[in-house]
Amino acid sequence: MTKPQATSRVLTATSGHEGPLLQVDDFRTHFETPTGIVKAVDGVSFTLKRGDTLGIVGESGSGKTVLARSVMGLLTGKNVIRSGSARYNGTELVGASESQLRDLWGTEMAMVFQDPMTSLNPVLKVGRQITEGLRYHLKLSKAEARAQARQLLDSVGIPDPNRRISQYPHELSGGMRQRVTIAIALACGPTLLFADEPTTALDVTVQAQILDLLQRQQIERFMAMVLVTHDLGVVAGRTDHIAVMYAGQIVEYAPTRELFANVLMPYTDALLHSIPKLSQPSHTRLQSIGGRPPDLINPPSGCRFAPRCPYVQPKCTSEMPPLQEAETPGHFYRCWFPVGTDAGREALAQNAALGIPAAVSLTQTLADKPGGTA
Amino acid sequence: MGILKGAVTRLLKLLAVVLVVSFLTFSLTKLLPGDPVVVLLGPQYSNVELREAVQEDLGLNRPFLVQYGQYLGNAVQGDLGRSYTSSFKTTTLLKQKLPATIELMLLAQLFSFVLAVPLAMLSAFRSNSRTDKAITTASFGLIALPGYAFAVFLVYFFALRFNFFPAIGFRPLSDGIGPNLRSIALPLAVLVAGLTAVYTRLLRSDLISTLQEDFILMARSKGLPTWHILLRHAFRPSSFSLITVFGIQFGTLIGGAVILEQFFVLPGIGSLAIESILKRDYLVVQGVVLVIAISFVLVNFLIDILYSILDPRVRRTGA
Amino acid sequence: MTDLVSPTDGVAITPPPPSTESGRKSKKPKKPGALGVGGWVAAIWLITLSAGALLAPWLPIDDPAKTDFSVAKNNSSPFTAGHLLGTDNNGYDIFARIIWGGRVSLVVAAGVLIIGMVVGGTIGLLAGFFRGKSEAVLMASVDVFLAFPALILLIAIVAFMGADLLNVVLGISLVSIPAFARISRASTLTYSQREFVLAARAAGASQKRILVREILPNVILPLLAFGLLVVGIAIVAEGSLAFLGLTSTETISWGGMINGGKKPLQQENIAHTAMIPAVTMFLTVLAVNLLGDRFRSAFDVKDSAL
Repeated sequence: MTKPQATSRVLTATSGHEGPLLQVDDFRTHFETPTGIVKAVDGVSFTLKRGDTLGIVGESGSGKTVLARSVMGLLTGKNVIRSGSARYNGTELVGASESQLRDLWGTEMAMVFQDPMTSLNPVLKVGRQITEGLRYHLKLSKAEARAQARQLLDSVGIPDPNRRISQYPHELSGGMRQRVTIAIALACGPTLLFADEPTTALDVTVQAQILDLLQRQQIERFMAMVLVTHDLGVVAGRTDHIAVMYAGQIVEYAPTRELFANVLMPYTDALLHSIPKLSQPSHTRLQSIGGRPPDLINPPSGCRFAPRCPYVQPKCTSEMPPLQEAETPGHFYRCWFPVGTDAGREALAQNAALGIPAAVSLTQTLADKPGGTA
Repeated sequence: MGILKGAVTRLLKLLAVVLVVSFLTFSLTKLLPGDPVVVLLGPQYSNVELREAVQEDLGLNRPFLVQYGQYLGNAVQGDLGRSYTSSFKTTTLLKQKLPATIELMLLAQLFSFVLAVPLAMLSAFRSNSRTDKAITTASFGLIALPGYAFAVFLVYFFALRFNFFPAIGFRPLSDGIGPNLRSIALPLAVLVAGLTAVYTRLLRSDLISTLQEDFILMARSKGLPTWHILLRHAFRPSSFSLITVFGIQFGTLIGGAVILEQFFVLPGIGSLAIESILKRDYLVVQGVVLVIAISFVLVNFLIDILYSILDPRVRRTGA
Repeated sequence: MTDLVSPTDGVAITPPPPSTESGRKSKKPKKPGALGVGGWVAAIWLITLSAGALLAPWLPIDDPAKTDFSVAKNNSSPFTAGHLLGTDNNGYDIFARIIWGGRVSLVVAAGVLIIGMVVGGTIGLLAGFFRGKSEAVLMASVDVFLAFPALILLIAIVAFMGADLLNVVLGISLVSIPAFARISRASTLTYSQREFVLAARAAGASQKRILVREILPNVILPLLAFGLLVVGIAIVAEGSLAFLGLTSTETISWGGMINGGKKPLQQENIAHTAMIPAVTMFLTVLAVNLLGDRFRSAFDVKDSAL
């Protein structure tokens, strides 16, 4: 993956703003509900440069989708409370009015949604759904917009765009539809693209194609991309950084290569053990993460992963670990007894000796695979 | 091709409905007590020869199915028989009475649709806001308000207290649009109030569920203006049940106008139906019911076609 | 039409908690099953009306058929000389007639609800369960019925069969049966395909047992929800007939009172004769609809299913 770094500096300079394209600081999104305040995103910070890709990984309910939608400002409603800061190119997005945001949507930032079956309007032709943004934002004529739409469909790998443009979404296959939503997202030339689980609803055979397409477009258009997924395998070769989310917080953040080489957070470790690897023998048992994500109305007072963690110690349930930088610069984690450290190994051994099921089964798995991450 | 084939099947089915309705009406008028000959002859009914002559003349002594067959045969040729009581042709009576009813119905549908769509959008878009609550409460109340009860109030305030509109009577369009509209303003207001409430409620609840769809979020993320999203993206997929009920209301309205036509003394086919029923004027009753059934069936045929235009998914499955 | 009612959500209509906070100003959405302030007002209104209607002969009110011209030549305004709501142009006490008129509405409501639900519900249940020809016939007759002007049919029935209360009730019930049958069929269809019915079938339960024990209890809820809607319509329909002067003049009915009040409305500008029964009918239908609405949300019956 070669990044045109030189161009980066030039473009950032011309945009009149020094520094990262997206800067998120202590960002929170809470929902008021009859039963209490749901802290879906609770103090998240990260930055993203133009040309870079950030992977946000977590299981369902970790707040990753809410984070993406909320940063963009798509969540409206009286019960949504956003706080902290999210700056796009220096412009504060938190507290911006809908009309201010609308000027950025489509042209500056765009989103590809999870399920192309439901994110395309069933009663409008594919062409119209692409051209409406072009006509509104770029003030193109009907003919110009149509030509542009054809070109877009072609560039996202849809064969015979002339025919597809006048078809309805239900006449297209799932992979084809996701290509269309990507074309729509790219239509007005955004510099920041959010892709929210773009392959979850698709057949395994087309998942890689869609991811490749996103990656190619991201490089060609020199966009910043936020790739939200529950699957570490998806982000493995395709992102520059990975943020692992759990219960509304970032629990580990590192350059992709560093994260896979040197996992520190037990939750990330558990996620890694729960995906099948081709290198493993065919009947290797996958490790599931026992228990459920915590209640986001009254999250645990200590580490939020503590109730499910095989490494858990008394300190974990009373004190929330801060997001601290590891020895490797740029690698952040939120844990008192990190994986692969002496403290971690000791904690795990202690728990296994006490017969705590999660610790016992993890120890076994590690013993089965000599090359395990711990 | 699919549309055409579906339309033909549908049309045949609707034709069958009209036939059954006409047969039922015919049977009902025969089965129900009350002999039109009594009405025709009055005290002379006891004169057996005269009675039989009249029955022979009207074809009333032939077998039931033969009578129906004849009626149907004539009906296809545009002859719905002659009124027993007024010597007018049924078709003439219908032609006289239809304009007022049709005008009232079309205007009521038009106004309530035009009012309901923006109201429902406002309500659904700002769901749970004060505006929404006001609109939903008002429509809930209006649905519970019987038309004739409302009519009493309107007449009292707008016709008697303040002489804005005439309380009763009808001025045809040939008297000029102004007087014509003034003469039907009050019954129209009653119909529009009720229909608008029904349509607003229906469209609002469908819009609210559509607005939660992913494709609306997608449309928003394109940075399109709100009105564009509401009109282009949300309205069409939300309009299906509205359109279905809209079609059904055509049938209900023609029959339902009976009361308002009586109250406001409008020369419509509702009044014609009541008068004919009370006078045992079977042929006219049959004619009225037939006209109502046919127009209902036709409107719903058109609605079906509209439906398949609005929803591309139906086009394939409908074939 | 799928998932008309989720059986697990069967929350009973319970009184609201004793704390007065939960009523008006609290921002929390209403708990499912709670009547709310409006619901309670509606329920009290209907209970009072029904009690008055049932007990009318023993209540200390004027004889509704006794004329009193002592106050004025005819119409007298409300709150005059022993007549709470005044008298109409025949010298009848309006308050007494409102109470007695409630009897007719009550009979119509109960009669139509019972006949419509039992007959229409059974037809729909059988059609939806056994499918085949009975279902085809049912659906065809619903199509025909929709094209048939209901009010004209009703008027015809009353005009030809006689205008007594029994015929009015039978006529309105008849008109309502196809709608009940349609609702009942739709929910029967849904439930026939649910797992618990399959399970009962696999366990060797007889058709009759499945129909009565498994499906019927689930179909009754949406049917009752629809029934409440029909009650309002039935009261208005009876009123329409009386308003048109088609029912017996001896029956005291709100619609008849509105009809009787039309004349003074125009001639003497004394509006209350027509307005009091009109308002009474409006409030009653409103109360029935409101309770129906609460009922539907409590039992999660979707509006679109009706």
